[in-house]
Amino acid sequence: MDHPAPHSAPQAAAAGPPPASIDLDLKTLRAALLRHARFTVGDVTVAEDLVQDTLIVVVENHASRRGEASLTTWAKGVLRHKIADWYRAPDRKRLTQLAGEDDRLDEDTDALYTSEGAHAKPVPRWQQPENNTERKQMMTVLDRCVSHLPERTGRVFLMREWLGFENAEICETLNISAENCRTILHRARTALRTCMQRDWIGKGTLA
Amino acid sequence: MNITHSCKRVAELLSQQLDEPLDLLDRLRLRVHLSMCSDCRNVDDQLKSMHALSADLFGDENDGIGDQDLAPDGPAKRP
Repeated sequence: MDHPAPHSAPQAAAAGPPPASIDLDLKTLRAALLRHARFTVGDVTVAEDLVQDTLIVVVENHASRRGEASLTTWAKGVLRHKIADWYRAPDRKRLTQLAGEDDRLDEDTDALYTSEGAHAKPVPRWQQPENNTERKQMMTVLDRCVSHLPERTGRVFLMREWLGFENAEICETLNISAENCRTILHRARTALRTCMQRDWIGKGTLA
Repeated sequence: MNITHSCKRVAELLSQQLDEPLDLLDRLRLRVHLSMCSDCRNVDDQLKSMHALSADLFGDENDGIGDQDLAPDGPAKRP
């Protein structure tokens, strides 16, 4: 005879992970979320609030969530929407003004070109990741490279690429010109290409 | 007016076209330049592969499953 009541037998080997297992992950998850939130919103207090909101959603809904995404991936998706909503709230504009310039990236970008604007060095072709493991390696390096971007540049890049904001929305939210936004994104991507070249391709991960 | 842009200017346009449509003249100049310049073609490929990965940033599971099913009205509209 079957035992159709899994709740009464939490130690049954064949049962799925019990809901209590989330407790083990929360601390690690919180630290990871906080890192991303802090980098993306540039304000520790706001980041902590957003992560707190995210964790509440995670704790309340993780048992009923559907889909195959891992808990971390799912939680980061929740956080992403929380951050996007925060940026879109009408009273945020004064809070999110960008301070300071990232001139270092300007110089780094200039160094890649001759005075005529040609490439100073040949640009190598990147081998595309051929499987999930290689894609994951590439992603890990990209993640690290993004976290090395100067704050202002990193935030604009993440608003565009991670949050999926259109340029016009970024300009309006951060109160910067369209040209300024283009320049920041271009400098960010240039810095990331250089970083990826050094830390991913250059380390021979795929060689 | 130059028929083609410098590689430096091309890199700016390659970044820009990930975010917004370029005007016709820039598109034409870009196409002409890329047809002649393998360095800039490689830049284009590099930018596009980073762009493709970026929406999944911070998901350290990177199992190829995004959170598309999480919120159909999500902000991630990608060109």
